[in-house]
Amino acid sequence: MRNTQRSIPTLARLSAALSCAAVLSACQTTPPENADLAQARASVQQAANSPGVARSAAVELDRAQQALRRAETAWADKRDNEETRHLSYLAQRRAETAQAVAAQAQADTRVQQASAEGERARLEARTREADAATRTAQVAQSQAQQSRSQAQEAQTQAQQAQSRAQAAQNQAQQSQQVAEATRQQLQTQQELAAALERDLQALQAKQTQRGMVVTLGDVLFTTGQAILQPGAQRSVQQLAQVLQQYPERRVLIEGFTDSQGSDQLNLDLSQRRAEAFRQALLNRGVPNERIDVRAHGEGFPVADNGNAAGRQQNRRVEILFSDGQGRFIER
Amino acid sequence: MKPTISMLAAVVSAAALGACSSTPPAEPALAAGAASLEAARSAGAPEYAASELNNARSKLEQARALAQAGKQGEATRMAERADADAQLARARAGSERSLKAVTEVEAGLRSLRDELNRSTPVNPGAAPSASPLQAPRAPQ
Repeated sequence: MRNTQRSIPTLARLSAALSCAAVLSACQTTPPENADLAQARASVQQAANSPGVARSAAVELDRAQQALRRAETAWADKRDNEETRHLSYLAQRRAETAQAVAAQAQADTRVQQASAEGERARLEARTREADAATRTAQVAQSQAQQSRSQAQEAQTQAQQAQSRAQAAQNQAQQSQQVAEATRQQLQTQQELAAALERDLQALQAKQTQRGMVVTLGDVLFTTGQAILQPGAQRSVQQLAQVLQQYPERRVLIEGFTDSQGSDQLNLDLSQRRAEAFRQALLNRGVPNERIDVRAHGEGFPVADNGNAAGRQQNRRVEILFSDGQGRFIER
Repeated sequence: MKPTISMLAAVVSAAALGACSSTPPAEPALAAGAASLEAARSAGAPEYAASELNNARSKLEQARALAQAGKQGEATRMAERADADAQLARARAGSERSLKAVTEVEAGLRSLRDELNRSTPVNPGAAPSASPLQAPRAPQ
């Protein structure tokens, strides 16, 4: 019913619409610039060109582009100034929103990176501190070991020094003991020598350059023979006792005659008389190796063979005592 | 026939219909704008994007006034712009806050580097290239 009623003005409106459409199509080919739209287009383009927006704010960018497309349509198709301004505003705001969202994402990423860098730095610092501590500990350990070695070395040296001091002390004591022993030995020898001298006084021994000498006179032998008279036994006993008391001493028995008779006879006699005295000492227990015998015949006279008294003095046996080592000083 | 009366009736009914079909109520747009505004407030916009937030609030009030005045179409558009402003305020608040965090964390990182470089004993044997604290690469 409404259609029939509106059928009359329809023609007029249709013609008007047609003329209007013609104008519109003309406009579409070369649309006039709209400032709001241009601004919105620039903003959306800028946002779309930002890699951060494409990555992090795709949804916001899409909404901005939708609004922009609607604004373009509103302007291109309807020249609707109001709607175009409105949609351009929305497009621009959403483009800015997209930029802000992208900026936040970038900032968040940077915060995470910086935090990670901080963690890494702390970790590396701790690692370095730990390494340094390890090195310090190693140094301290080696120093301690060195100190221990030095202490041990010092102790060893001290012990060695102590040992040396002990050894020196021992040596000193030994030297002292040796000296003491030597002194005592010397004293003993001197005392022994002195005692020997005293003991030999009884035998009328004489101190000569060769040592102590006991002389047995001619009267103690049977004339012209090598037999000891009984009176000689006392001298033999005394000599045997002295030799027993001084075991380090030895005796040299020397026989002499006067110049009467041949040399051979005299040598033989002096030999036999000395041997006879040796035999007497052997009989008293004196060992054979402590007795030496020498025959000199008429050699080494002690008196003048020109008279009877001198010849009697020359007929004799001398008993020479050795030194402490059993040695004799030869004629 | 009474063309005048019928014409009038037709125009009125058409106007009524047109109003009903082309200008829907502004209520959903107002609700959406209010929700975005609240979201922006919660995101710290009062502190970090005060200007954008004020824009949004002001537009939403205008939209409400327009709706009260029965101008549903204008109210809807105003509410939509308020919504766009509020979303921008929310995004700006987020980016500003994050940028501030970047500034703080980089300052912290610098002072940490300084401190570590000071406190770390210098090892004469270590090569200079061994320094682990290299300058951060500038964001491209």
